[in-house]
Amino acid sequence: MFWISLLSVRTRWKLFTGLIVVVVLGVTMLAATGQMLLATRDASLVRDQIGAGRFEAASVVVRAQQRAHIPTDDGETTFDYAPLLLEARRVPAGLGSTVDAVPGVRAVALDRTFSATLVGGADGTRAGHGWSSAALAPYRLTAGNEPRGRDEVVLDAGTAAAQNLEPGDRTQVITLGGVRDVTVAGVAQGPGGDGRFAAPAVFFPDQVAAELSGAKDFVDAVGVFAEDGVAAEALAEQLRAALGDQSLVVVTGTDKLDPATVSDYTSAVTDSGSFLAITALISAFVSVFVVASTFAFVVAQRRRELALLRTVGATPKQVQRMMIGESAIVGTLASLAGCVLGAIGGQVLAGLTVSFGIAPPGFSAPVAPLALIVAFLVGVGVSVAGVFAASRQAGKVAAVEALRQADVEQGVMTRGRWLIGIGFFALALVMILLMARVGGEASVVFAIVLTEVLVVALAALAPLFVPPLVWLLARPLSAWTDVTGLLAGANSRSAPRRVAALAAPILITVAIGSSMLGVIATTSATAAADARAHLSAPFVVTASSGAGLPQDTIGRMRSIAGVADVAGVVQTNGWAPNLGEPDQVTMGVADPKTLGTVFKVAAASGSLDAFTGSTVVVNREASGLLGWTAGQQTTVYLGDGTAVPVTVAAVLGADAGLPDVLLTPEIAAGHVHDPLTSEAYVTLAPGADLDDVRDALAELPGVTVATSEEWLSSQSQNSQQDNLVAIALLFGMAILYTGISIANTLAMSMGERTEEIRLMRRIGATGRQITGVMLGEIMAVVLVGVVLGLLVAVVTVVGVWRGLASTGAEAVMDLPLLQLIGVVATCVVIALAGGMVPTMRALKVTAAARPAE
Amino acid sequence: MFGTRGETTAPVGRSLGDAVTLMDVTMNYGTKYAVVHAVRQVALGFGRGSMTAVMGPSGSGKTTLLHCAAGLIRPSAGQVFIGETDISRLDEDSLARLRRSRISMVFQAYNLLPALTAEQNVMLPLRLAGHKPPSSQVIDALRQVGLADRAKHRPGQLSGGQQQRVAIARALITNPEVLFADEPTGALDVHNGREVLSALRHLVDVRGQTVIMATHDPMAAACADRVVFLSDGVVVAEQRQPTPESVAAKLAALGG
Repeated sequence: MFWISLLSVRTRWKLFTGLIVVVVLGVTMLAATGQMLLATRDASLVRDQIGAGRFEAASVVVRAQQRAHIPTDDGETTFDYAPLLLEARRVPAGLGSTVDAVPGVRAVALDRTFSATLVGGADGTRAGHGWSSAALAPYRLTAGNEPRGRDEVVLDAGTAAAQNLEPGDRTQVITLGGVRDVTVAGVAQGPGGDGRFAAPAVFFPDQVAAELSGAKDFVDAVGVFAEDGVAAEALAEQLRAALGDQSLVVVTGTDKLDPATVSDYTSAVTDSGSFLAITALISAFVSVFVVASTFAFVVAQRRRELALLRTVGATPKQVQRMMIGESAIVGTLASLAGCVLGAIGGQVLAGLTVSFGIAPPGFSAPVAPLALIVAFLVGVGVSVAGVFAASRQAGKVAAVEALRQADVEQGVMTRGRWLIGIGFFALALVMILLMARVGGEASVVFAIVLTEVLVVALAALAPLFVPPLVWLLARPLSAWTDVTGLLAGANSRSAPRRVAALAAPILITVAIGSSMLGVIATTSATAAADARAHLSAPFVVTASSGAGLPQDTIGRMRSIAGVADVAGVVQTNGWAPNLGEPDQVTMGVADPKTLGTVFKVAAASGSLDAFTGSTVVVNREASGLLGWTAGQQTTVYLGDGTAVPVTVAAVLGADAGLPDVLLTPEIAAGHVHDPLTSEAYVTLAPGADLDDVRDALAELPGVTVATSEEWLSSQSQNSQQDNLVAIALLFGMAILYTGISIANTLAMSMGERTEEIRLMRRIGATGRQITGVMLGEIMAVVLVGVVLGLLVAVVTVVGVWRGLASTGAEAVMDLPLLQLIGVVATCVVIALAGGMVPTMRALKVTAAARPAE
Repeated sequence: MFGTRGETTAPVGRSLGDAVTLMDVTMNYGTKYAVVHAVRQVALGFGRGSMTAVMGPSGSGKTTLLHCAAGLIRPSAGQVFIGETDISRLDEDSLARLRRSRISMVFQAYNLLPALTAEQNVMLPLRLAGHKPPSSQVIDALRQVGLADRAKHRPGQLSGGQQQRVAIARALITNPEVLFADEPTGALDVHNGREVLSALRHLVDVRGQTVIMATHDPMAAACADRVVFLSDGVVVAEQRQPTPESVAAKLAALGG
C-alpha cells in the first residue's frame, strides 16, 4: 500500500501543501524557541557573550574575594554555602602600588565602580568609574577630551547616543552625593561596539570618582598591564605568590569582568529565560495542537476517497497503514524544512527579544542541535500521532459512503471526542480547585497550563457548541441579508465537524491571548489594590531615572515647608536562613520612626515599636516562607556577607509592596554601597497646601513627583506594559502561525465544496452572493472560536483570582476590555484575510464543469 | 438533406415561435496542444411549449450544446438567443440573473444543497433574486412533482428520483421560459427514471413548459416531442414523435 501513499501525496497536493505548511511552521516555531531556551540555560555560552567587558585590555585583574561564607546546617551535614556577594567587597587603594612593584608589571590602573545615572537615562545604576580605568577596556575618545574639571564627565558612546549628548552639552548625574550638574567633556567608544553586551559608563576625573564612590581609600579592582613578553597567566601566578592574601583573587581572561556585572547580565538572561520557557511551552502546545487537528481534518476531508479504497477491497488496516505512511512522508519532509527554518528563526527571535527589551543586548541563540532534533522528532511524531487517531476512525469508513451524496455530517461526536472533552474538563476542574489553595504566584503558573487544558477540552467538545452558536449568528444574518445568511447558517450548522476544525486555531489564539492579558491585569490590579490599602502618604517621589534618590535629595525634601516627614526604603539584598539553608531575600533599610506614618501596616504579631537596634521586621509572605515568628532570634546575612544576629521585632499583617525583611539603619550602615531610595513617601504637616508642596518637590532636580494614586496606577501600568511587550512578541508569533493555519484549513476545506458552489452558480447565485455565503460561514467559524476562546480566558482568570484571594489579600479581577477587543479583532481580521483565499477560489468556480472534470 | 421519413433538416435563422435559438454556435476547448471542436456551427431552434431531446453518443457534444444554450458557457462563435435576448454577450453576473429568472436547469446529480431542506432548496432561486416566495407557492411547486409531503426533508432523506423531482420543482419556481435537463435520469434506476420523466412530461402538457433535455436513454428521448441527434458536434438527424425503437435504431446507426 506504500505506493498508494506516494501517489496520494502527489495527486492530493493541495491538501498536502496545507499540511506541509502547518508542520513546517510548527517545527520552525518549536526549533526557534527551543534554541532560545537552550541559549539562556547554557551558562558558559551566556558567559562568553559578555567576555571581559571593561577589563578586556588588562592582562590581570586583582580584586577582593566576592563570595560570602554562610555556615549551613541542613540537619544532616554542615557545609559552607558560598554565594556570590550581593554588595561588592572592595580592596584598599594602596594595593595598587603593591601590585605595581611586582616584577613583570608594566602599569596598573585602579577601578572604582559606583552609582551614577544620567538624569533621564534608564540604564545601569552602577555606571560611574574613574577615567584612569578607561584604559583597562580600553575606552578610546571618539570626540572631545578626557574629563579634567570637577564637573566634567566622559560618556560611553552608547549612553551618549541614547541621550543625544555631545561634548560641551550640560546634563545632570544622580550620584550618592546628590544630583550633580556636569558638562560632557568627551565621548568614548569601549568594548561592545561589535553588538556585544556593553554596560553603560560615566567617567569622572579620578579624584572626583574617589569621592563619589563613598569609600575614598578603597577601590573595586586593580587592573594590571603586563610588560611585553610576559604572559598573563604567568604574571597572575607571580602576583598570587607576591600578594599571598587569601581575601584577594587574581584573575585573567573572562574572569577579569567583575562578578556583579556578570550576574546582572546572567540574571537578565535568566529572567528572559523564564519568559522564553513560557513561549516555548505555548508554541509547543500551539504547534502540536494545530498540526494534530490539521491532520485529523484532512482525514475527515478524504472520507469519500477512503470509502472508495474500501469498495475496491482495502481492509481497514490497510487504509490506516496508508494514511500513516502518508503522514510519515509529509511529516518527515516538512519537519526537516522546519528545522532549517528554525535554525535561522532562533537567531531572528533572539534579535527580536533583545530589541523588545526582554533579553539584554548581546544575547544570541546559536544553532543548537538538541533543539533541532527534539523539534524534528516532535514534528514527525505529532504528524503520525495526529493521523493515527483519526485514521482508526477513517479505516472504518463504510464502503457505501463512497456512493452516498455528501450530506449533513453524522456521528460527529465520536467516543474519542467525548473522552478527551470530558477528561480534560475534569482535569481543568481539579486545577481550578487546586488554584484556590496553592496561592497567588503558583496559581499564575497553573493558569498557563489550565488555559491549554481547557483549550483541548473545548476543541474536542466544539461540535456541540456549533449549532446553537451558529443559530445565534444566523438569525440576525438571515434577517439582514437576502438568502446568503440563511445559506451560510444552514451550511455551517450541517457541518459542525468542519466548523469546529476551522474554529480550532482561532479558539487557541483567543484563549491564550485573552488569558494572558486577563491574568496579568488581574495580578497587577491585585498588587496595586494591596499597595493602595497600605499606603497613607499623599505623595510618592521617585528618581526620574535609574537608581534612586540620594540621601542628599531626601534631606532637601524634608526641609520643604509643609512636609511633615519623608520616609523611604533603601533596597538591598541578603540571605536569611530557611530550615538551615540560606534563602536570598530582598531587604529594605527603613527608618523605624517613619515606617508607621507612611504605611498603613500593622504588626500581625510583635510590635513595630520594638523595631530598633538589632531587630528586623518581616513581611507576611516572607514570614511564612522563612518560618519566622515575632521575638525569634536569628541571623541575617547582609549583601556583603556580614552575619548579623537579630531579633524579629514584628511580623507584618500584609506584604504592602515592602521588601521581605526590613532592617534598621544601624544594622545596614556601611554594608550598603548605594544607599539610594527608590521611592520616597512624603507626608504633610497639618494644614499644608497640597499644590504648594507638590510644586516645591517638583523643583528638586532629578525627581518625579506623583500623588500616591498616580504612582500606584503608573506602577501597575508599567508592570503591565512590560508584560504586554512580551505578550505582543509571543502572541504575534502564535497569531501569525494560527492565521496561516486558518487560511490553510479554510483553503483545504474548499476542495470538497466545489460542487456545492457550482450548484449555487447554476441556480443563479451572483459572485457577490457567493462571497456573502462564504463570509457568513467564516463569521460562524470566527464566532465559535472567539466565544469558546473567551470562555477559556474567563475561566482561567477566575481561577487565578481565586488563587490570589486565597492568600488573604484583597483580590481584584480585571479583564482589560480594550486589549481583549484588540485580540479578538486581530483574530477576526486574520480569519477574514485567511478566508479571502477560499473565497477567491470559490468565485473561480463556474456554472459549467470544465471538460477535464 | 437527411431525407428519411419523419425527419427534417434543422431550421436556419430565428423563428418567433422558438424559446431558444442557436445560430451557428461553435464551441472549442483549446489546450496548448490541440483544439477540440465540441460543437461545430450548430443552428437549431427549440419551439415553445414543446419538449426536445438532444441525443448522441458519448463525446458527441450534447452536454456542451446544452450548456451553451443555457448560458453556462459562452460559445467560441455564434449566438444564443433566449427569446429575444442574445445571451452569448452577457457577463457572468447577468447570466446568473438570467439563470434565476428566465431559465432553469436540472442536472444528472448533485442538484440540491445538502444542508437545506427540500422546501428551502426549491425557494433558493427566488431568494437569490431577492424575493421571498409565500410558502404556498413553494408547496405548490412541490405538489406539481408530487412531493408536497416531503417539504421538510433534507436531500439525504430522499430517494434519487425524489431528489430529481425536487430539483424539477426548484426549476419551476421561477416560471422559467425554458427548462434545461442534462441527463436527468442518468443516475436513476428505471422506476425512479420514469417518475422523473413523467413529471417533466406533465409540465409540458399541463403548463406548456418548454423543456430541452440532453440524454442518451432512448426511453427518455421517446418522451420528447422531438429528438435532435448529434455526432461529433454536428446535428446529423432529427425525429418527431419518436418511439424508443426509432430512437434506438437511429442511435445504433450513429454508432452510439
